[in-house]
Amino acid sequence: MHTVKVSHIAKSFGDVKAVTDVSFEVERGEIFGLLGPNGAGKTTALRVILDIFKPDSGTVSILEGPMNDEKKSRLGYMPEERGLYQDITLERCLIYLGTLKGLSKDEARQRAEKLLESFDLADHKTKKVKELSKGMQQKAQIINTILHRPELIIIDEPFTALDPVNTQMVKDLMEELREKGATIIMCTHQMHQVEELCDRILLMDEGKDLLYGNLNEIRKQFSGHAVLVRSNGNLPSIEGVVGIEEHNSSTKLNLDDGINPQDVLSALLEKNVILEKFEIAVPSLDEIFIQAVEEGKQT
Amino acid sequence: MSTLWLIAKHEYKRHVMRRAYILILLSLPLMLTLMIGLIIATVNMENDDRPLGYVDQSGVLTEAIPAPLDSSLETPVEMIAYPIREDARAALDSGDIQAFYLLPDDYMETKHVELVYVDDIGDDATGQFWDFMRVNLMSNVPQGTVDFVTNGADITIRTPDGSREFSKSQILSLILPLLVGIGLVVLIMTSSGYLVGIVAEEKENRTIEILMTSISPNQLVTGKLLGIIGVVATQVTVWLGFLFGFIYLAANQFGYEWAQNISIESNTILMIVAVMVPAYVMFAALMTAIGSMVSATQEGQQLSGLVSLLLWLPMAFMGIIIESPNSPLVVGLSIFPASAPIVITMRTVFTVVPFWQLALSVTLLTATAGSAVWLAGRALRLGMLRYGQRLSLRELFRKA
Repeated sequence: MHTVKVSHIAKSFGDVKAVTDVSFEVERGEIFGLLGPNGAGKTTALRVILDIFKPDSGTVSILEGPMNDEKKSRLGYMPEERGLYQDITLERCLIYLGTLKGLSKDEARQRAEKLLESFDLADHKTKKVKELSKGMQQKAQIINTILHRPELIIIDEPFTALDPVNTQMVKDLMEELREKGATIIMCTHQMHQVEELCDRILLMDEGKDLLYGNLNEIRKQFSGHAVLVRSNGNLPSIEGVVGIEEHNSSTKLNLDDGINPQDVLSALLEKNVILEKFEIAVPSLDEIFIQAVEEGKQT
Repeated sequence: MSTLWLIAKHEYKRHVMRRAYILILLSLPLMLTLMIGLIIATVNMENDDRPLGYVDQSGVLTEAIPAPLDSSLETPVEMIAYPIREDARAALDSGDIQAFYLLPDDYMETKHVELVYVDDIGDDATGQFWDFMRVNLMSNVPQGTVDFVTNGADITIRTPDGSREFSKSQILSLILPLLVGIGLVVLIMTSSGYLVGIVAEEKENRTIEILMTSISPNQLVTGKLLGIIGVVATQVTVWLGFLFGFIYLAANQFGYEWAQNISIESNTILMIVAVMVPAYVMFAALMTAIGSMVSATQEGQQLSGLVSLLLWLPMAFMGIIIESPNSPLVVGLSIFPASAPIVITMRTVFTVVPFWQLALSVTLLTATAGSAVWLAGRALRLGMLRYGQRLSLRELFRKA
C-alpha cells in the first residue's frame, strides 16, 4: 500500500512553471529521497503533497486518499530553515505546536521533555527559540516534527547545521522511525546521506522527474563497464582494457565489450601484481546526479 | 480543546504578555490620572483657601447662613463678618483673610460692592462668596424658587415622536454614541498593528508552513482574529473600567451633576452594538487581508493607513452632517459600510435616524464584514507562502 501517490502534478505561479509533470509513489515504511538541484521544484512538489498548494493538474493521494484535517495530525513536516516561533520559550513552542497536532497539553509536555532529554536540549527548554544555536534549533525542529509520532514524516534538509555527532544521531533516529513503521520523505542535497539512508529516490530537475526508483538499481543503471584498481606498483598492460584513467587514489580501467571483471582480475594475478584494491566501478550518487541533470538539459 | 480556542489563546497570550502591550494598556489611565491630577493640583495652587471677610453696611447679611458647596472637590472658604472697614483691613494686612468685600448702605439700590485685596483672589473663593450672597439674599424665598434662580431652567427638548429627548443635565448621555464612534476609530487604529502583522511573524519564521500542515487557513485566521479581538476587548474593558470608575468617583465622591445624570437608553446601546460589532469585524478582516497580502509588516502598516483614512473620511463631512443630518448625501454616507459607523453615531446627536436606514446600514455592514472575513481567509491562503513577494489584488480575485 502506498503512503503517498503523486500522479502527474503540475503547479504554476503566474508565468513560472514550478512543477510541470511529476509522478512518484512512496511506500509504507521506507525512506524516500527527493533530490534535485536548486529550483528543481522539490519544495513546491512537497507543498502540493501537503495540500498547502492546490495542483493545477494531477492528483495526490496521501495516507490513502486526499488530504483532510484528520490526516494532518498523522503527518509531521519540517520545512527547510527555521519554522519555530522565535520569541517564545522552546518548551512552550513545542507544546503549542504539539497540541495543534491533536495532543493534550500534558501529553505534549511529557513527550517534549523526553525528546528534549534525548536530544540534549533539556537544559535549554526555558530559553527563547531565538536564543538557541542553529544546530539546537535544527534539533528542536526535528523534535517538533516527530513529537506527535506521525505515520508520515516529510523533512526538508534535516542535516543542515548539525555537527557529525548530531548528524549520526538524526540518521539513527530516522532508521529507528523506519523500523517502527514510519514513512519518511527526505529532501536533501547531501548525497552521501541519501546513499546511506534512502531505499528509493526521485531526482527532479526543472519541474520534471528525471530518475526514479530503487537506489541500487539506479546506480547499476549508471555504472559503466569498468573496474577500480590500486596496487603497490605500476600496472602492466592488460588485454581487454581500452582506457586507463586516474580516479581518486585508484586507477579506473575501462573494459572492452565482452571482457568481464573476472578476466581482468585473473590477468592481473597472473602477472603477479600485488593488489590493494579491486572493485567494480559504481558511480556515486553525486556523479549520477550531475550526469542525470546534464543529460536532462541536453534532451 | 478546540483548535480555534488553542490558536485564539496562543495569540491572546502572545500579545498581552508583551511589555509594549501592558504599557499601552496602562498608558491611557495613567495619562488621564496624571492630567486630572495636574489640573486639580494647578487649581489648588491657584486657589486660596484663607477666609474672606465682609463688612455689611447694608444689613443684608445680618443673620448670614452658609451656602452649600457645588462639589466635594471644593474647599470651603470661611466668610468672616467685620463690623467696620478698619477691622477688615487689619485682618487683610495681617494675612488672616485673603480679601474683604464691603457692602455699602445703598447696596440694595446700587448693587455696588467694593472688593479690597492685596493679591488676586481665587475663582473658588469668588464663586463661594456670590453663592453665599445669593443664599442670604433669598433666605425668605421658597427653596424651589431659590434653585430655579440659582440653576436656571432645566429645559427638556423632545422629538415629535417622543423617541428622544435632550436635557442639558444629560449632555454626556447624548454624546455617548459619538464618543463610542470615535472610540471605534481609535480601537481600530490601535489594533491595526496586530491585525496587519497577524501572520507576519509566522511568515518570517516559516512557522506558517508547519501551521498549514496542522490546521486549515480558515481555522488559523479565525482563531487569530478571535485572539486579537480578545486582546482588544481586554484593552476596552480596562479603559472602560477606568472610565466608569472615574465617572463613579465624579458622581459619588465629588458630586458632579454631569456625572450623576448619566442614563443610556437600551435602544442606544442596541444601536451601538448593532453598528459597531460588524464595523469592527469588517475593518479587522480588511487589515488582516492586507497583512496577509504584503511581504513585509512595514508595507502592511503603510497600506493600513489607507483603511484608516476611510474611517476618518466622514469627519470631512461634519459640517453637512451637523447642518443637514437628513440630507441625501448624509443618508448615503450612513448606508455606505465604510462611513456608516461614524456617520450614524454622529447623526444620532443631531436627529432621529429612521429605523429603515439603520436596518439597511446594519445589514450591509454585516454582509460586508462576512465578505471581508472570507477575503481575509483567501488572502491568507494565497499570500502565506509568498516570501518577499506581494500578492496583487488581481491575483486575489482571479484565483477566487
